[in-house]
Amino acid sequence: MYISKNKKQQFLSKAGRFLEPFALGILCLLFIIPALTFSNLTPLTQKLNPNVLGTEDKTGFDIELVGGNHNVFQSEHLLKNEDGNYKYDTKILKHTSGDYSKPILLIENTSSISQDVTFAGRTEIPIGSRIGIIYNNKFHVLQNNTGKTTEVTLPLDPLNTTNIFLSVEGFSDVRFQETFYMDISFN
Amino acid sequence: MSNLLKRALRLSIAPAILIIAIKILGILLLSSVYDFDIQIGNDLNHTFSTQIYISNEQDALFLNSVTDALTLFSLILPLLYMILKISILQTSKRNPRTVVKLTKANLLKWVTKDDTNFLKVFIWTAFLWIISALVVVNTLQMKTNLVIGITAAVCTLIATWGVLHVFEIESNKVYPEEGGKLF
Repeated sequence: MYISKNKKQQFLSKAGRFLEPFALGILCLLFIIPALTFSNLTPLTQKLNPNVLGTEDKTGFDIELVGGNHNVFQSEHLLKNEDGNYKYDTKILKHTSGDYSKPILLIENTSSISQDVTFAGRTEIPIGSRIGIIYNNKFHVLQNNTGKTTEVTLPLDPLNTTNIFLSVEGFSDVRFQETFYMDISFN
Repeated sequence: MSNLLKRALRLSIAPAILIIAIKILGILLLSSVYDFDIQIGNDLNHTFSTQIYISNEQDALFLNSVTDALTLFSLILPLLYMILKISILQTSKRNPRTVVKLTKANLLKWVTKDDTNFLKVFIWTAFLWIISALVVVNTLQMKTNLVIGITAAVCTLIATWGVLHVFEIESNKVYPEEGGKLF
């Protein structure tokens, strides 16, 4: 189709007039964008997050049952839940008064940052003794002699393996067998 | 579309790119040379969602001062060059001695090359005004060294005087003035 030179000129002139407001907008943007970029590139002072996307520390633990035989603690089980936490249970056999302890778990913090692990334990019926865990030679009560339970949160050093002991302390004999349940969750 | 708008668009691209490039390259170069602990973060509480974070306040001040100064000088130097060139060309038209001096220095071709005009000088000055204002704001917020802020303000005043001088020269082309009389 033939388009005359005159019509071509007319079209270009109309198109130019139509584009003029847009060109004006672009001109304004050419001034605004560098100014905003310049302003936004001013560094802000803030404590930096040590974890960068792609290089984030692996948060995780390895947990193992120590096992073995003991005259008070028997039939130990360690199960992993769907939510990534663990359930531990053991039978506390009848025993005479006194303190009894046994290494039950080996927990390794596989990340390079300190992380917390929480223990919550109970028996179905109070046995009249204090039940708790020993961590770094310190006894932490999970259930007292009246049956009151307490959660214990312990910090685990990075890239470190910790031995957790289960301990029973009582001033009177325990004349029945009871199962002790413990939830282990990682924060 | 008017020719003025087309030319303004064409002439604005270079300084706009230069400002962004100098600021980004300055930050990247300085942080790699001085091994600054820099992180790009996202915080929706600020005007823009992406920010550059630095852990040390002294490092932030140094980095910002140097990059602000680099950006400022990347605008001032070409502007100074343009104003100087227009001024020498104007002087050479009035004073034959200047022509001789330029010829001896082999600069006559450079001066007479007509690639600088008022619009170009004005656009670069407008960018300088914007950047100087931002540098002064940064100085008031203690994000940039005081010397840089003062330099920005002084240079802007000189550039404004320069652009007015160029405007005078350009208007003299349209309305030539000799000894206070219009021809």
